[in-house]
Amino acid sequence: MGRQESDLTYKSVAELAPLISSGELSPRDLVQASLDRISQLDSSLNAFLDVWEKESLFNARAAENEIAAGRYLGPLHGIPVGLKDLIDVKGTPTTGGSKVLAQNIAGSDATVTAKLKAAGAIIIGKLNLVEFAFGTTGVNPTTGDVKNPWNTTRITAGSSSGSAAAVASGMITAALGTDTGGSVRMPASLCGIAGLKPTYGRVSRAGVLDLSWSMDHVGPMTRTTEDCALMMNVLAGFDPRDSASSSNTVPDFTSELSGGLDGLKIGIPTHYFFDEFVDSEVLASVRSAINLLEANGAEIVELSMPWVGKGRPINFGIILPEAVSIHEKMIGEHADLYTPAVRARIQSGFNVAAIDYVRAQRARQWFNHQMAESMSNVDVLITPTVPIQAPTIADCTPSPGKSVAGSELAMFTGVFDVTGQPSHSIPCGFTSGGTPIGMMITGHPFDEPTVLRVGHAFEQLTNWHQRPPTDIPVPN
Amino acid sequence: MNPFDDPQHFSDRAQEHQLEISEEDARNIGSVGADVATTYAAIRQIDTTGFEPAAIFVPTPSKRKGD
Repeated sequence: MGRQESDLTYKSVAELAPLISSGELSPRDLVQASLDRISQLDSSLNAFLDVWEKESLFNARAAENEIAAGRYLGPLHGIPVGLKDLIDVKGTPTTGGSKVLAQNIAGSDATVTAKLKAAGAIIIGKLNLVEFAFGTTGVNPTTGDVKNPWNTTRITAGSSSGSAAAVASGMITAALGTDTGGSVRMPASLCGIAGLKPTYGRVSRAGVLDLSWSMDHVGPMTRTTEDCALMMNVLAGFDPRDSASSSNTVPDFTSELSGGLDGLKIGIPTHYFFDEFVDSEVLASVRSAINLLEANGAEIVELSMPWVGKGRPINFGIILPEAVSIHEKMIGEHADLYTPAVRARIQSGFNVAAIDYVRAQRARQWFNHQMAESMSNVDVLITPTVPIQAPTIADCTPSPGKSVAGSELAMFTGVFDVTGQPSHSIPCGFTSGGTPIGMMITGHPFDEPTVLRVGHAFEQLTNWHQRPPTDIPVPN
Repeated sequence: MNPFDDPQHFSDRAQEHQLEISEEDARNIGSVGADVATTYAAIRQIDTTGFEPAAIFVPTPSKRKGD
């Protein structure tokens, strides 16, 4: 791997945009570097399901001509991005990582695809995922497991597994993922990148395969918090094609990035997120990060939240019947095409009583009330993103009579899919085994700017986000 | 018996939904079923009196209160 190429592919959107707008860097060279890196590394990582080389180079050339003609569209113009394969791109397959939809060709672009194209981003291809996004580990027997770029025997987490691995390994500059129980933030955490789950309704889900309509979010996965903000400036906004889309005013998501930490109150839950079951190295890294934030101007406030452990059961208790409702027809017709683990998850949902779903929805109202009350005196919460270190792929692969690892992965992230709050994972350290540790910053609904402000401030104080994985095996 | 642990119940529900359940599926569902049972048992413990969702869930903007 040439050092120059590697330097280019590890730059952030914020670093690349001025080079592209000034003509110093050609989008064609950047896209070619991205394609070269994919061709060298993806056989080791399995992040991509489809790479559109010709179209990407054609679009990069068009971007170059537009920019030369003085029509620069903004920071994403000419930037190589990838889409989780739940997101429609007109005329190409959207498979959901499943044999069931192998022949499913999208008739139109998802709203987020159209927005990225309009902003001049170069869509390089489709990214691997857990089948139908219904799982947390990144293991998918149909499309092959995605490997963690920091240690290819370990999982990336999921379900946006390919998105995380592709960004973390420098194959693309940014990606889109989806998050229903933590599928943007968990893989961001285990792969050492930034991942933002925006407020529910902030980013359109039109043209994105559903898993659970009242929990699904689409969000950016990038190298830095600033890049998440730049992506959000393109992605956010009301969309009549999405019944849950919010008409709330859309801010400039970069506007508060430089606000620093002075005057901010950061809540630290005294229950659940820092309990004994959490891995000790994860705890130490997140506590160290909190101390650093406090030393640089933030006020730390301990919050008693004895009810917060109910969040993940409510999350799963709503996802399951909604997923069954979505898959009822397809699984009736094509049960044999589902992978056994996902088929079992969906089939188990047929057994959920209606009253249990209604109870879960009422519990969600109750839970959101508790969360709003608890956070009424703070700006954000900080917690670990996931409670465990990345397990091995072997330990997460189902087989008869074996207990599968990784069931704890979504214990923390799922809480904030229930509340719909903006929630952001950024790197805050490494385990002794060399895999990344993430911390999660969660804010008030529709207050992404404050969440991003805290993330950016932390990144100015540390260099965890600037360390690329160095030992990705390159096949001969 | 908890319905999540009852193979006959699964079989009946599968027939109702025209699903074929293989032996392997039944085993898999059994292991997922324990998680499902634990999930709803946890939810049933919550006193949700007065928390009826009126409409599709939409978050309400909020900010930190003044000191």
